This record gives sequence, C-alpha cells and structure tokens, in this order.
Amino acid sequence: MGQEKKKNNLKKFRIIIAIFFFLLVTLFFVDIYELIPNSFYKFFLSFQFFPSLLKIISSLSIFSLIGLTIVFIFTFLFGRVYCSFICPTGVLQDLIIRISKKLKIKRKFKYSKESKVLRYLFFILFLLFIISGTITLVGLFDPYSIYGRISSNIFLPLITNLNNGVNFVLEKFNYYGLRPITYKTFVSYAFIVALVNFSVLLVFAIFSGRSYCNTICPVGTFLGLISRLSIYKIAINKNLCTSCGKCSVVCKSNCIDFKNKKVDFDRCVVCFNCFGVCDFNGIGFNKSIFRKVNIDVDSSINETKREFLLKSFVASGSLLLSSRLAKAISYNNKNKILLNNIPIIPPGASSIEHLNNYCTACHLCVSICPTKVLQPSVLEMGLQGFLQPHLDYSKNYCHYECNKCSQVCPTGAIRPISLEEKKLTQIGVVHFEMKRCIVYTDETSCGSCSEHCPTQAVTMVDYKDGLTIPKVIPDICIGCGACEYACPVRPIKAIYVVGNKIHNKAKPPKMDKPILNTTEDFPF
Amino acid sequence: MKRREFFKKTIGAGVFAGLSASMLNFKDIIASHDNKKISAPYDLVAIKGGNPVEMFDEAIKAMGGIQTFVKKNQIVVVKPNIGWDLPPERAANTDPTLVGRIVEHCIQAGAKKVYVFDNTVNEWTRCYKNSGIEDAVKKAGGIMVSGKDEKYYQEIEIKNGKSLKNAKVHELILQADVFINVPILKTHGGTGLSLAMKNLMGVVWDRGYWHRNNLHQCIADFVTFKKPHLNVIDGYRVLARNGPRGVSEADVVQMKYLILSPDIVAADAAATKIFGWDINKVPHISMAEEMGVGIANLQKLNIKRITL
Repeated sequence: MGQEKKKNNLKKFRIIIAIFFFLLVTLFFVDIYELIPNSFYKFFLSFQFFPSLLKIISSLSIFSLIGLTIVFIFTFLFGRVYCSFICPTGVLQDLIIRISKKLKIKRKFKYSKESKVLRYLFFILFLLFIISGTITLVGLFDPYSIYGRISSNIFLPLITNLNNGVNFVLEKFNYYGLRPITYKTFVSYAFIVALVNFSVLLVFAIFSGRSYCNTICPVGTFLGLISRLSIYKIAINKNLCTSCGKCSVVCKSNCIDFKNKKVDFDRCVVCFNCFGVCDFNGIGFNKSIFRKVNIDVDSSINETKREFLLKSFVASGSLLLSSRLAKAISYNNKNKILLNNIPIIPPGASSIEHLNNYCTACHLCVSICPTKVLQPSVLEMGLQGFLQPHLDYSKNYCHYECNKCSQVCPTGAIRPISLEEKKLTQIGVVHFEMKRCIVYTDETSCGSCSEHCPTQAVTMVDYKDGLTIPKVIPDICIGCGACEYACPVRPIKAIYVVGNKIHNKAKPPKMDKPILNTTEDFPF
Repeated sequence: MKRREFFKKTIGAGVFAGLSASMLNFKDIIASHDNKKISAPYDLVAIKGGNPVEMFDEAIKAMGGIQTFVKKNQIVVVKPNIGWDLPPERAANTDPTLVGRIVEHCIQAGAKKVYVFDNTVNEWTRCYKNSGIEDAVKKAGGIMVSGKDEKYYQEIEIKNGKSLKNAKVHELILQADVFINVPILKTHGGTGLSLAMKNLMGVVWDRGYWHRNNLHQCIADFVTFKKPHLNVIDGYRVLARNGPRGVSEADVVQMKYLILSPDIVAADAAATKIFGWDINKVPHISMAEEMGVGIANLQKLNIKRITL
C-alpha cells in the first residue's frame, strides 16, 4: 500500500508488549505440563483490570494493587494503553483484524460516530450488576474473562488433543517421553458461551474494528472516561492536516474524524497505527510532538444539554430494571440452594456468596485443576453462579496435596490459602448410607471409600464375619470427595459429600502414638 | 506447493508407520509369552535387617541373580505400588531405592527395555514424582509409562475366574517378556492387608468392578490369568495402620523385611506372617491357593532365610 515510508517504533513496541502478554495469558490457560510457577500467575495477571479490581476488594492483594496502579498511571499519562498492550481480548481482535486484512476481507476502516446511548447504557448496567453482586453477568462481558473462557474451552481442548495425538504416534514407536493428558474438561454449555463470545468478537473485529471495546466492554468504557483526563492525548495538528484521511483508514477504533480534524480520544486504544501513515506528521501526542503549535483537543467533550438529559434518563431506567433483575435472580438462587443439594465449591472460596460476588468465570481454575474435578456450573448455584466453578465428584475428587486454584485465581473469588490451611478447610461433609453399601448388601469386602480418604474421616470398623464396614467421623472430614468418587455402588453412591454453604474449619486428623517396632525372628 | 507436498508426504509416512507399528504390537500379543517354569534355587527368599537395596542384592543373589528371571534382550515390566501422592517415609508406595535397584539389575542382565507403571489412585504425575519412583527409575535407565489412560488397556478373558471373567489389562503386562511385581506390605481397610496379589489391581482399568463383585474373589481370579514371574514384597517401612494411604508418619513402622518369590501366593502368605497375622485374615490368599495359583502352606516350600 506504500505506507511503509516512516519508521513507527511505537507501534513495534506496542506489538512486542502485546504479544508478550497475550502469549503469557494463553499459556496460563493451556499449561498442560504444569510448567508455569504460581508466582507468574500472581504477578502477570495482576495487570488484568477487572480481576485485579475485584481482588483488591476481595483479598487486599498487594500484587493487584500494584498492577492496577500501573494501569491507572499509564491511562492518566497516555490514555487506554491497556486496551492495546495488555488486554488479551483486545489483542485477539487485533489478530483477527490483521488476518482479515491479509485475507482481504476488510482492508479499510472509516470514522464513525460514537454510539453513546448504547455504550453508557451497558456501562450503567454493569455498574448495577457489580453493586447487586451479580458479577458473573459482568464476567460475560469482561475482556479478560472472555479470553479466559475462549482459551479454556476452545484452545485447551485443541492443545490437549494435539498432545494426545502426538503422544499416540510416539508411543507406537515405543517412545514414552511425552505424556498423555487426561481430558475431562469439554463442557458443552461453557464451550457454547465461549464460542458465542468468540463469534461476537470475530464479527465486531472484522466489520468494525474495536467496536466491541468502544460500545460494550465495561473496562473500555471506564478507561475511556479516565482517558479524558490524560496528560498526553493523540490529536491532529490542524495546521499540518490536509484531511487526506490516511490515518482514519488505519484506525481500528474508528475514532479519527479527519474531516473535522478531531480525534475522539475516549475511544482511542493507543495502538499507534496512525502514527506512521501521515505524510506531514500531522497526528501524534499533543504535548510532545505539537509542543509549539496550539491545538484544542477537548472540544469534543462538551456535552449538550440534550445529551445530558438522555444519559440521566437511560441511567435511571436501567437502574430500575437491573435492580429488579438482580432481586429476581438472587431469589431464584436462594430457592435453588434450599431445594437441591448444596454445590461444593473450591477450598479458599470460603462461601457460595463470596464466590458469587467475585468470580467472573474466566475458567482459569477449571483449566489448571490437575484432577479436573473443578467444572463450570450451569445452574447449580442459580443464575448468579452461572459458569462459576464447582467440584464435580462424578468426574474426580479434590487432590489433598493441591491448592493450585487458590493460588492462581486472579479475582480472589478463591482466596489464596496455604496447603496447610487447605487441608483443614471443610468444603463439605461426608454422609454414609449403610443400606446401600456393598458390605451391607453383598456381604463382601470393599473399603474403597476409606482407602481414598486422606484424613481417615471414613474409617473401616469391624462388621461381621471378619468383614469391615465404613464409619464416618464428620469432624475431621474436609469434603474432598475422594470417598464419593471411589464408591463403586451404582447408580446412587453409598457415600457422598454435601457441600458447606459457608466453609468450616475441620479438626486435624487423629495422630496417636507411633506403634513400636517388632523385631522377632522369621515367623515361618 | 512444495510445503503442501511435504506435509502430505509426512502425514502419509506417519500414518503408514503408525499402522505398521500397531500391526507389530498386535503380533506381539498373539505370541504372548507364557509363564515358563523358572528354575530358581529356592521357592522363597526372606531377608531382614538391611536397607531395601542391600536386602534385594542379597536376596536376588540367593536366587541365582536376576538372570534367573531376566534374559538378554527381553522386555521387562516392573509394577511397584505408586498409588499415592506421598513421600517414601509415609510407606504408602513401594520404596523408590528398591524399585531403582531392581531396574538396575534388569539392565545389567541385558534387558532390552524396562518399563515401570501403575494405575495410580491419586493424580498420576504427582504420584510418580513425589513417590521418588520416577527419578529412581529414570536414573537406573528404566522408562516410566502412564497407567492413567484407557487407551493402554486391552480387554482380556479370565477363563478360570469365578467373579471376574473379563478385565482390561495394561498392554505392557500383556507384551512384556518378564513381569516383576513389587508391592509394599501395608494394611488395607477393605482387604486386611495389601500385598502382591492386591498390587495387581494397579494393572487393570476398572477397579470399581472388583469392589462391587466380591473383592477377594476378584483378586484371586485375576492371578489365574496372569502370574508375575517374580514378586518382591517391600517390608522395609510398613504402614501398620490406616492403610493403604495412612494419615501420618505415626502410622509407619520400620520392619526392615524383604520377600522374594516367583510364587505370588507364597510371597503373600509369608508377608502376612511377618506382619503377625494369620493368613485367614486375608481371604484372597487361600482363595488363590484353592484355585491352584500357588502354595500358601509355607512348610511345603524350600525357603531361604537371611539376616543381615
């Protein structure tokens, strides 16, 4: 296209940083060999805006505070740098745009007016969801969580299958160096949500660039509001601009109004694509490049009276609507829990309410869970818990020596707890129904439940004719579900765990005195 | 075009190679090696008082060396107990130094390949790692294989089985020339003790079926299908309570025993006695004896006893 005349180092810099964060976040979700240390998750996910915001509230995380402060500082300085450098959904859209340009589906962008009503309507709705504690609905639109679900439900299955395919071929040649990965994570409804998320992004990105970020995305709108106060803004130098429109054509945010020589900086994602294309250096940061020339950038922000009225109308309307909605949802939620079995949620989540209030359903915990016992919910926790994780003991059980989900959760919905603490966190309590037990019905040996129990909250006691039968000690049970998973009785198990709505502290397992060594001669 | 052609060829070659490899494997199964009569100087060697490596070295020497069981260029599968994500001190898994030493002996005897696996109870990669067995085996030159994927397991028929008529068995067990069974002696809430025969629950896919259908009988039934060529029972650290997993190190007793026998029933009977129990407390031992798998009456056997 003949646009490669000028060096555009800022753009190159942006691409390098963006690829770094994008790859890293992707690897976090598809780390099938468990190579990435927990500290990486803690540090690098702290830059993700919405999760970090939640984590500061939920668990006063210092990492998140630092990460978020850095994001804020950069936004105050240069605008929505976050959207082009860090946000994985943003970078995913940039990739889609790049590919669609290569495939010649869509090559040019043009300026479009901001859809203000829609944008602020969405934003107010999200605010209300946050206030009413229905975070999961915000999570459906939060860019980090969207990308998380896409990675977890689309990329992870692909990578796992690829690994297992290669493993299959290698093992045919007796090479056992690449291990097969147990695959239990494909969940159809979670996959559908991820697919819808992805399709929406695909359509938006191909046909109107970063419109998702500038119309729906709650983080985009919020950072947009801050970027109005930014010290450095991208603007057009009216003295140099010839209104040729070259900058507008490459602007993914459709925010360069070259006819009026204005940049709607609120919608600018600071990708620097426009910097290299102007023949006269007529577009750039207002303070550094245009120091000598006076230009006004804030004229676009003057709100008319009509607009103000419209906004307040929309705001009050949606306020009413969503408070109703939230009430209805939480009512359903209560009923659900009373009626059915209480779902079991990961240790560290502390209570169903806490999980509901902070989880954005990014499915990072679901992706990294080594036993895959963590599964996305449908309506186990009501609408409020839609897609949030719960433990499914028909799939597996919670590994006693593992606290990984609590270590990686970026929102603090699963609070970081030590392994010692996890081993005493009672997420549910065991229930035993003797009349279904094999030892009772068939009068043959079993002991599968007790065998699996790490604390011996299920222990085998003498029954009759040399047989042993399970006995439960609820005090020391942590509800890990190993007994339920292992119980061979079908279709309804003889031993099962009922979740604790609010997690308790279990008593430590009994440890008596050591048994003395027996050193005799050979007994035969 | 060139690139595409290259891909086509590579994929073609890969598919062809894969298919032919699977045909070869199939052939192996058809010609599956029977348990030939092994001429060992003793029916059973019991040894005590040393560390696992010393005890194994002495015991296998008494048996005429590992060469009695492993010939040159043979493929060996070693099946320890790696069921739990616990360190060696907790005595829930077979001692890693013992497993490593057995692999070393096999390699020294000229074994072509030595595979080690278990269908673990806990998440398998953690069990392999934290039991110390993966490291020990790799250091000794053996190969760790997963036991946690159904694709490895092949349906077999157990003709003499009473409760267990079919099972899906790990392909390595079916293909290997030599099968060495290395359990650890420990208590078990369901079966009393977990010994050599019980350890074979880790070579099948669906253990739940066994638990549902008279566990002791299933354990005995399976041995009528496959008897290991050599059983090495690790009685160095013994989980004397709360088995098979244990709650803490308080459950562990250091007994410093090792039993070595080609007869799985005899090995289990001897281990039961060492634990101080009557063999009737572990019903699958006499069940297996009745089915003609081996001899539980130790007085009938030629036993070598060694104290270090």
